[in-house]
Amino acid sequence: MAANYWTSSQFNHWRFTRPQLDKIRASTEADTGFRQQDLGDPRHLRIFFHSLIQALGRHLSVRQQALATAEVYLARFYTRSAVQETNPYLILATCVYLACKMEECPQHIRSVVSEAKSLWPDFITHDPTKLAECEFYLIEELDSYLIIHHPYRSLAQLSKALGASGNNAGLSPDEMQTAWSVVNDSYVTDLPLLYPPNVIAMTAMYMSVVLRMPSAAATQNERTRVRLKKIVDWFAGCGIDLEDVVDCTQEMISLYEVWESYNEKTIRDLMARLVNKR
Amino acid sequence: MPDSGLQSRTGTSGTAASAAIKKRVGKKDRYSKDRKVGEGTYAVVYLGRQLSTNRVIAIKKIKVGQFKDGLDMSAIREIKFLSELRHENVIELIDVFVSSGTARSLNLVLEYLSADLEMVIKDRSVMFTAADIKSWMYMTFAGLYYCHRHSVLHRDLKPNNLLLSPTGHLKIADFGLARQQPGPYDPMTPTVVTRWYRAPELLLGSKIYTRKVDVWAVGIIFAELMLRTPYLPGQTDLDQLDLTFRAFGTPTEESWPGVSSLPDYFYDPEKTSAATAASDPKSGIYPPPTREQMRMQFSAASESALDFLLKMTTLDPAKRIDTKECLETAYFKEMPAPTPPERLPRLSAKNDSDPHVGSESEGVGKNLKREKVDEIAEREKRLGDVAKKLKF
Repeated sequence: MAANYWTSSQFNHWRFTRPQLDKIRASTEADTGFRQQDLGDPRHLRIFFHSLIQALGRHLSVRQQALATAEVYLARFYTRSAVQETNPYLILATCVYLACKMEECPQHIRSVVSEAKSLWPDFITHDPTKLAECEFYLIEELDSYLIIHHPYRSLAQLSKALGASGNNAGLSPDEMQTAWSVVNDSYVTDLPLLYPPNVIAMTAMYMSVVLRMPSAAATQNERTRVRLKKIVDWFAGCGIDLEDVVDCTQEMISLYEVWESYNEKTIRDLMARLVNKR
Repeated sequence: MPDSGLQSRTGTSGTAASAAIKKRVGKKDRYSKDRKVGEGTYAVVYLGRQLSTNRVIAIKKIKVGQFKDGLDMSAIREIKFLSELRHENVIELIDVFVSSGTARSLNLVLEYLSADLEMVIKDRSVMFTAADIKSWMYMTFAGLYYCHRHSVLHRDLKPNNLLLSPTGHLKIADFGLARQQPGPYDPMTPTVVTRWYRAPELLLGSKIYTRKVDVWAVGIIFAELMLRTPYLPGQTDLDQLDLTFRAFGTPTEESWPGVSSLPDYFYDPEKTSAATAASDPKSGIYPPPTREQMRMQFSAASESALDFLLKMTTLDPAKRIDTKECLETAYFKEMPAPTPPERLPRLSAKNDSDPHVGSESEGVGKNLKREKVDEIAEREKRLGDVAKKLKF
């Protein structure tokens, strides 16, 4: 349904401006009495959840697109519920379970539960009905809007179009790989709640090409400079708001900075205290 | 140890439930559940109303007890697609809510539809004209084109999945087998679509197929509307294949390039030529029907109606027309014009108002009281079939 992002529930119902998102979170805090800031930098938490989802996905051999869907579910869910009132391990396992069904690569509930339990024995019980029940709540909290449009397809299309624009402007396999990783990392941020998939795809391309350029530019390589100019012109002419791309790029760069100071153990301990307190 | 994803903290009433739970209770209170109209493996269907508008609705309640294994894929698909699709000719999913309390359940609030096309076809007391058929066909394709434009394959079109509203509007229902059209080489299961409406590429085991399988199904429904009896009622999958080829000819490499490499194609390509078919009637190889033969079968059909049928039931999916072309076909342009939905024939006129169904008075339920017992049984069975559709 990628072509129909503009008529989708993702566009009409689950896309926010940053002030709207802040407001929703503030009202969730007010409703639940839990403050996000008590859990430290929200991005550290998101990095932690991201790594948990990826780990569970690896254990279950789930393809990347389904994990990306799971991450969007999780991000949407926590705009409306405070982390403190939930067991995040169960919630995210449920997100993965539901996302697999949605992306037509279903996993049996027992495999999801047993893999999750082997990864996080202190937080997941072997009883699959907990997860089944949680699935109901997740669907409701998502307002039953389950189809997610991802930047992966836009990325493939845009890079193909760039390649077809001539002058060797297309992405090299290395650059494509970088762009792909940037898209994967974008799920740690709020970008999927804020921007359409094509803007995020464009950001990934921009970051993979332009930001890696300085080393090449330093060589005064004429061909490289011509290519860079060609690419920047193409970006400017392809109908995507560059302001948005710049915004997204800043968000990603600041994520990578925050990632430097990320300490998994701190968050893990925090989560253990949080869940066990209940 | 956490016992559910959402912590419900016990304590005073003020903190007993999270805001999220409060919100849910509020949602549930927006609807009344008046009476049970059907029960299936996965769900119970109730008739109710949306309290704010007094609109009659159907609530499909998915039993939690059934879901030790999590929500069934067909339930997921129904929610997935119906949440996105909004079209006059596609059943409307109005809301989804979780009822809390001891018996937790997931509830889909759907628009209430009182009949389906199968009931109309089978009801011998209902007469309908070429213009009526055209109207149902047009509404089917309008809804289906919308689905296809959103890359959704229905994969289970048949008369009893085409529901009829009290105002005569046709709505495509039951998205339990639907899925997004995958990439061109991604395999899907060929065991979809109720047998009688299953396209030849599916019967031959093809795992790569397109929205053309839906067009085939509508073609067969079109034939059924004209004949008022199922057109290709195969008893087994093999029988279905035989009936299909008997009706439209055994495909050959010339008529359908690549057919002999489909998984379940068991004919000898050497022997499927038209010559063999003509020379040996017992070969099990059928020649394509002549125009005259088709005309004999569908004596009431106009030339363009016959053309349309043949285009929808072209064996080679690559040559079969797509939904957009269907909508633009001459059949829809020529006279008679499609009957306006509100003037389409209904089930027996005895169906007058039922206080439970209220203003949308064509509800099937209303007849139940006054009819003879056996008629009731028959109708209940049909109603059950409608209800089944609302289940997963």
